[in-house]
Amino acid sequence: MRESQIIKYYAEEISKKLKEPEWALRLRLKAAELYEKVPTPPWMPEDFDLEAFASKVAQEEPVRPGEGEIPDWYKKILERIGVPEIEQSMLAGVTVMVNENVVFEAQKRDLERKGVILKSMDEAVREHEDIVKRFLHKVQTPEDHKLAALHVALRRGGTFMYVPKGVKVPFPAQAFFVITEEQLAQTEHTLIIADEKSSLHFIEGCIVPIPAPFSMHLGGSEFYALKGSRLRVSSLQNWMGDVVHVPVKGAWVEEGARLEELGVTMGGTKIGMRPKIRLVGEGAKVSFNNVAMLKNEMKSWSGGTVLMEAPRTYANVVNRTVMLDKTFEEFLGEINVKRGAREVRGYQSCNTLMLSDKAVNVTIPKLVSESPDAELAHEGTVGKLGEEQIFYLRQMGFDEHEATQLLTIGFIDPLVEDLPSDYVRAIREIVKMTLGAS
Amino acid sequence: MPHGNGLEVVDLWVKVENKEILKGVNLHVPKGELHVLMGPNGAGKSTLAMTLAGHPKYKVVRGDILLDGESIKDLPPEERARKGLAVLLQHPPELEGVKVAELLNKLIERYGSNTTPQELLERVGLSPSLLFRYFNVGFSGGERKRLELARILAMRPKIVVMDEPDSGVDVESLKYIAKNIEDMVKSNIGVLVITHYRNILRYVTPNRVHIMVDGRIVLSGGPELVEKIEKEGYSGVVKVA
Repeated sequence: MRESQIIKYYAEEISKKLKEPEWALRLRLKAAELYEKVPTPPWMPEDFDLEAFASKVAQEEPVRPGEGEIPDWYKKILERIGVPEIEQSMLAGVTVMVNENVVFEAQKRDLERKGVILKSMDEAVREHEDIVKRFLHKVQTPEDHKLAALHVALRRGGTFMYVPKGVKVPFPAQAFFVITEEQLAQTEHTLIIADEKSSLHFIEGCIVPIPAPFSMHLGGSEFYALKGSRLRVSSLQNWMGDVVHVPVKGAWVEEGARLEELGVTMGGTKIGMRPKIRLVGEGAKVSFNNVAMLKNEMKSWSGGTVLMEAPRTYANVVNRTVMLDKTFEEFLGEINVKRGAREVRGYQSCNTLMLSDKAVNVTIPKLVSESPDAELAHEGTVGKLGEEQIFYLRQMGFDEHEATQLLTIGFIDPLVEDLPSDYVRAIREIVKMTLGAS
Repeated sequence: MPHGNGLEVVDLWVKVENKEILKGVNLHVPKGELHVLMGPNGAGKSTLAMTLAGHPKYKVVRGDILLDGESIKDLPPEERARKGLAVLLQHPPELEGVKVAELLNKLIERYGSNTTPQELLERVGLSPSLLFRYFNVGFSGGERKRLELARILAMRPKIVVMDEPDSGVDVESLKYIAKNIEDMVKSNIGVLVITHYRNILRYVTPNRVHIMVDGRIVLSGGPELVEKIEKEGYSGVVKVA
């Protein structure tokens, strides 16, 4: 059987299970058709078994973290990191809806009154067709590559959040009411829409190490910042074990809107993630920060593409990676200015900290412009920790290992310090643990 | 020379990148005294400071360094610090991403100092707004020296070596540094100030003054030596010696 036919078969099965409307099924089938025509991404698993993957996604009920006893060694890790409160309930293996928390119930009701919608993606497709249809897979598209097409065809689970015009959500969204188990689905899709002049900080994923219930995570996400809105999204990932983490992501920023995206990647064995960010309205801004810590034999394809399609748009992309052991990273950062996009400014910087002489880093900047007055720049550094900095800390009484920890955390901290403090502390502890015993 | 007291440098020979810089330095800084080390450029003053701090590029070929009678010559920098030797660096590097409050807190914790980062900054006349800045990043010359001083105070040292605390600083910084030197000496810390420009000597009076030329201490004396150098320059004084 042709690959596209295999995918179609399972896509139909999923769609039927989820009782989707016809238009949603059509999106899947179109993606299934495209699978054979679109390019293969460099992070495609070599021995990828399409049928096995598709049938697993189709058959399984949404995956839950293991219920029952948490092993002691795992508890120790969690204690040390100081698990953010929200993540604790999730890890307990209970199917908690965090929105049951009484303290925040009032705020939640308040937001509901203002028209904020927070639902599982599968429900939203059925119940909020008017909004979902306008946005779903418009910026995360199946044309990009095979895994992008596969995600669209086999999408299942995930979170939908819509913030109406002018509504400001005053606290980070995950912290109060994301339906957490949906985030552990294998092909989950996150669709976040900040309507005109609204504001939202959404935290997706989980920073504490989670034993993955599958071997390939092909999640997807789309973030829409409509006119004049301000949208912050922090994506955290720390899969434990032998997981290929290859999410497909897209973002759309309209006139006068601002998107701040932060990605923190700590786990998995193979990571492939190059989001596409489109600045479509005049004066749209994006700041896109990425932090990764690679260990053992992890391989990572990082970077992304920012498309500057309108005048006076602004992009700032910063990538910081810490490489240990025998890791490999290829950063490909592209800023692409379209014709007619006057007076745009785009900057990217990629800093790699190599803490091992067996790691390999490749940094490829790509600046493309069809506009004569675009101001674009790339800055890249690859290096180890400064010897003078290490000595400075040692002569204050810290040993070499402590000095390395302090400086490595210092390398990452500037990008993550705006997160809620629980998360910052957790990230620091994970860095320390990854660097070895102290 | 009384033993078991402060910092003793005994016939110290030091090579840097295979070049001999110190050629038999002898020096004793007892606790509760202020000593000043002066000398022309290239005499080896900073080499002595870096060697005392334990910088791996500075190799001791011969001689010894004693702290309270115990040799620290073969100890790594962190152990020297933990035993009570603190060195104020002439050019402290920037620590991007490491906040002032965070590092001072770690030092307070490590050395069991009964203070807070804010109080330490107050003692050296720095604004508490610097607590949330990165260590030394974007600091002026004077601010850097004062922050060095603050972190040294957090370390509760027995002996403090200051490499040019008075170079590239404004008068206000200089006064704060001088005040803290006096306080340290009063609380029985032995202080060795290395100075080229001698600005600091307008504000503090040392117990002893040592003059280093070409890797050796060629002359030691009381505070009157400072005035003599002001008048006659190093060449005049050393010729007399």
